[in-house]
Amino acid sequence: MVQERYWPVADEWAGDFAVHVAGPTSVIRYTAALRALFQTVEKHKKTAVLHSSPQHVLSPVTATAVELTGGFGLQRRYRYGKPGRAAAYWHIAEGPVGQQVFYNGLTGRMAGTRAELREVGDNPLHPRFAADAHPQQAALRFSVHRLRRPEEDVPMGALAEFLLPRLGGGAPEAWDLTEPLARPWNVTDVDASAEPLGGEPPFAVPAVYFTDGRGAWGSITVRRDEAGLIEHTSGSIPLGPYPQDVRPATDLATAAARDLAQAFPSCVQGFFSLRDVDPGLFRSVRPHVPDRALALLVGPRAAPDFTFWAEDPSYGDGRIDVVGSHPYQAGIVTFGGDDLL
Amino acid sequence: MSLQYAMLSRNPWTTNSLDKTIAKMKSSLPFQWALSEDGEAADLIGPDGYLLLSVHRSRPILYREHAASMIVGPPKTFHLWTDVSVPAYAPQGPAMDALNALARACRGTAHQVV
Repeated sequence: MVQERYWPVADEWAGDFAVHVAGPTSVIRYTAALRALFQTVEKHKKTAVLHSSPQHVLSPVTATAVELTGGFGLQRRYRYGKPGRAAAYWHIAEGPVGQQVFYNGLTGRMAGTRAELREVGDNPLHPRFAADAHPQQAALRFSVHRLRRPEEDVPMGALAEFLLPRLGGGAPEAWDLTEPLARPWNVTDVDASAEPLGGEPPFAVPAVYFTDGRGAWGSITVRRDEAGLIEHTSGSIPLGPYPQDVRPATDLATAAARDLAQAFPSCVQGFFSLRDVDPGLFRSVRPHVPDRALALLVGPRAAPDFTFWAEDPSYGDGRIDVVGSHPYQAGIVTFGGDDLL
Repeated sequence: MSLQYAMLSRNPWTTNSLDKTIAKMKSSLPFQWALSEDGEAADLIGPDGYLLLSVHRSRPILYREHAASMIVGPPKTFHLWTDVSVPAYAPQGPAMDALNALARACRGTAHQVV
C-alpha cells in the first residue's frame, strides 16, 4: 500500500539535522539522500551536520553542495540581512560510540563531544590533519559570473561550454543534480531541470553539477537580483603535479579571461586561481601552499575607468590589461608570483 | 546514521514494483510505502512507524566507469542508478530484505555506495 507522506533520512539531534556516513572507502558522495537532507535543512532553517570517520573526505560535488548550503562555518543571510540558521558542518568522529570526540572536517580542530559541538580557538589538531600525507596536486579553479537579462527562456550552461576547453579541459559531457552525474549535457535540459537548492526568493539558488568525464567538474548556480539573472559557473580542472613554475597556468587563465571578455562583453566577471588539492578532489584538508591568484577579469559594470587603474605604478609585479572599447571596456589583472590568497 | 546503497537495474521503480516488494518480503508485518509529494522518493515505513529505507528517483547512467567506481561489487551490465538510504536505527534485516526484493522487481541488484 502506498501512502502520501514523506520525510528524509536524517536524525533530528539537538535542533539540528544530522546524517552519519558510513562506507568501506573514504569519499562522501553527494547522493540523492544527502541532497534531501540539505533541502530539508534549508526548508526548516536548521543546521545540517555530516558525521564521518577520520578516513572520509568530501567529493568535489559534496564540498560545493555544503558550501552552497552555507557550510564550512559560513552563515547564509536571509531577507533584510537577518542571519539564517541554515548551515552545514562536516565533522569527523573518532573513538568508540558513546565516547566519540568530533573534529571539524575542514580545519581538523577538535570540535567537542556529541553533547556539544563547538570549535574553540586552538583546540588539538587531529593527527590526520597534522600529517603531510597527500602528494601535491594542482587544480586550476575558475569562478565566473555572468549577468543575464531576465527573459522568459534563459538557457544556462554556455559559460561552462566556453570555459572548460579554453582552460585545458574537455567540453562538458554530463550533468546532474546529484552524483553520479548521469545525464548527457544539453543546455536546454540544464535550464529546465535545475531545481532550487533552497532559501527564500530572491535568494533561491538552483544548482546543477557538470563534468567533462576526464576529471574536470563544476557547478552552475543561478540567482536573481534587481539587475536580472546572475549565472555563476565555478569549478576545477586538474593540472597534475603542482607546478614549480606557475607562468603557464597564469598564461592559460589570462588568455581565457581575454576570450571571455570578448565573447561576453559588458556582462561577465571572472577569477582564476591555482589550488593545492588532494588527488581527484576539490580541496585539501592540509594544503602544502595557499591558493595562488592567477588572473581576474573585471567587467565594465564593476570598474568603468581601467585606463587610470592600469597606469597606477604602485601595482607590484602584476599587470593590468584593458580590453575592448568604451562602453564595453574590461580589465584583466594578471597577478605576479607572490599573490597568495 | 544512514547507510547509502545504490540499486542498479534495468527498469525504474514504480508504485507497482513498490507494492510487489511488500508482497515478496519475508515478514508478514504491515509495511507500507510513503511517496514524497513530488514523486521523487519513496519511504518504506515499518509497522512501528519507523523509517526502514528511502528510495530516490531512478536515473540513467552515462558513465558506467564513474558509477561502477562508486559502489561495492558492480555488476557487468546495468542501465539505471537509484539512490537508496537506510537509517542505522532501522532493523537492517527487513530493510535489506525489502531492498533486495525491490531490486529483483526492477531486474537489478543492490550495492553499497563507497
